[in-house]
Amino acid sequence: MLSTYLSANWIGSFLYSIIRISTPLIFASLGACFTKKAGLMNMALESMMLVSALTGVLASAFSQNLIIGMLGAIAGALAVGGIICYCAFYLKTDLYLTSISMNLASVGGTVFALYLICGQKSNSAGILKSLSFPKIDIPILQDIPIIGTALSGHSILTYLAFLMVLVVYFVLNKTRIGLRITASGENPNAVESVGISVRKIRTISFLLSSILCGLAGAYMSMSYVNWFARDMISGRGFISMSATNISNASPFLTCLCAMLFGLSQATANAMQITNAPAELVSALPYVATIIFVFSFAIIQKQRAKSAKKKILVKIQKEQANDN
Amino acid sequence: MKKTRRIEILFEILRIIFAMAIAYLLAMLVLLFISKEPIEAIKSFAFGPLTSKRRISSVFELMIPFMLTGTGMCMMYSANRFNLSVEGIFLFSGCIITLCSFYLNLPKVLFSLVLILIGAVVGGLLAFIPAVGREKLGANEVVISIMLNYALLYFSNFILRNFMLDTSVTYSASYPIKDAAKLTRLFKGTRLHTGLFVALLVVVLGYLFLYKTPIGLKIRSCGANASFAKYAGINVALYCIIAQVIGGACAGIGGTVQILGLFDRFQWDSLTQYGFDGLLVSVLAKRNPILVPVGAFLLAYLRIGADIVNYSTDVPAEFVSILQAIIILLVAAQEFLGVMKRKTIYKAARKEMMLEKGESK
Repeated sequence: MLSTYLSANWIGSFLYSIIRISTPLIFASLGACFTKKAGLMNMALESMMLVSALTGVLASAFSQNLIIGMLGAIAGALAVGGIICYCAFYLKTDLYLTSISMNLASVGGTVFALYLICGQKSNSAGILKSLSFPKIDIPILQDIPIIGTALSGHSILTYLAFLMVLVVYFVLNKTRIGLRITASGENPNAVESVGISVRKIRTISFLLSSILCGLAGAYMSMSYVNWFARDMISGRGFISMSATNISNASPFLTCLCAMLFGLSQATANAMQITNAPAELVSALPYVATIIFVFSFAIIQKQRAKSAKKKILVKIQKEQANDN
Repeated sequence: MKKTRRIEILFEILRIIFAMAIAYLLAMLVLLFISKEPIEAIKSFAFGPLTSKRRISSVFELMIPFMLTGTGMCMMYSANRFNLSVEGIFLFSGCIITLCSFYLNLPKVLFSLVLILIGAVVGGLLAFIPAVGREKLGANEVVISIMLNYALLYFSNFILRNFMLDTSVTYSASYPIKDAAKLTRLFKGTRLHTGLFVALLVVVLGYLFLYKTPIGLKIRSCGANASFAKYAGINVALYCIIAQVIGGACAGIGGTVQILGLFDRFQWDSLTQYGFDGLLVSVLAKRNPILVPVGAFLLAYLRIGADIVNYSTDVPAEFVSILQAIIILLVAAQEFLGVMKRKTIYKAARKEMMLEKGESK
């Protein structure tokens, strides 16, 4: 029993499944980095991914062109992002409430659209001839035993996800818009005082976030599986959001956290073939998220406390020196 | 001053009416374009719920869970916390009380009351998890509560499959619940049950708690302006936790009443969505429990209308979820009708000033 788990083949494919499961989380959590840096939380990742998964499938099925499919997915996510920005920043609704209501609307709305187009409510498999992104074998790497199975043969979007970590890092830290986004998160009044519209910057951060969610949605319906199914995101948006929150929106840490959640999901999947109770195994990723969020919050609190202490000690020392 | 407030209230009401009207109009448009028999569909969507005694009673029946989760969300939303665990609690308390009902043996009314109490306690305890994460550790309550919902769903499935699965029926359901535990039906031929009174009682108590007690005032001040509440000496963390725990208890009662009132066995194997409906109701009710029955009625009417459209014509009921989002957004939008509101207030103020000037002369 144990030996099956320790074979090189099994470890390789387990690592492969971690990366495969983590990809949408990486995209979405990187997207959330933009809004988190702008001082807002994007709770609509869920609906952005769901809508883009559907529009991606539709665009690719009707055009039979993968690029148009991807653009369709991004357009779907941008539409959701645009509606949220308009409502929250211009009509002054509560951002949380807007995002939650968009999530609710997208669950029913996608089923409704699916029914109108395919005539059934569960999924588009077999009805819409949608495309899927090609899988890439990396020439030399694929021959190395464990690493080869783990890293090679992923969808092209998976490699794009890891590339996006660098891109997001670059955009946030080296470009003008990225620095403005960070500034409007740290001190919106200061940004406003030099004549930059915070509202505009935040809108841009949401739209950037939508683009990445669009890629996540495209991955879900055109790589992870090759069809659109109702409710197919099932909490991945919220898991991604907590990955961003835990890592404090630094792209590299965010990617790592997303993979940590991917690990817990992959473990749950791997345990399904053992005789552990299936329901408890399915609960594992969600319980793990709660535990991660709690423990990181405790660590952050401790860190803040010790930093405060350090400053106090420093001040006391200085006062003693003055005397 | 008084006039300004009156105008503000007037515009609040106008906004809700306009939002509902716009949503209904949009629904009609959708039906007009999609349905092959649009007039029939529109008619059954708008007036369907009123056409028979059974349908009217099913509107009221649906109001019961909406009122309970709505009151629960009012509590949390009053403290400005989006603790969405109401969704999972509703399901899980239903599961727990079903399990408890097999081990207890009590006379009729007392049995239901004890189970409702158990449901409330379970709900309060579960809502405490995200609440304490938020108030004591600064972890985001939305994330934790949503993860909690999924975890509770699987735990409840686990309990159903392992501790109370009745293998003699073809679908996955628990053993039948004892008759003594069930709530009585009010009228013959309908499914309306005494849970309606429980729901109304919770609504009234919720209103009294939130608007007529010092604790309620403190909770509302925490929600309106947390820094102000803090500087006024209110223990923000404590009162926000209280609000969320009580909200969770309301949801727990909701799950209990729903199971005892309508079902013979526990058979939920996916999230019920009543928690999110509760959020919707609390937004419609403007965080005030006394308006919750109104919001619950509007939502239930919309839902039953959509259901009737679903089975009497060719349009799926899911189109309602888009309408709901539009209603929430329009009701919550401060700037919707904002220009008109400001103009009216400005006019009234100017009139008053003119009058004062006239008097002083």
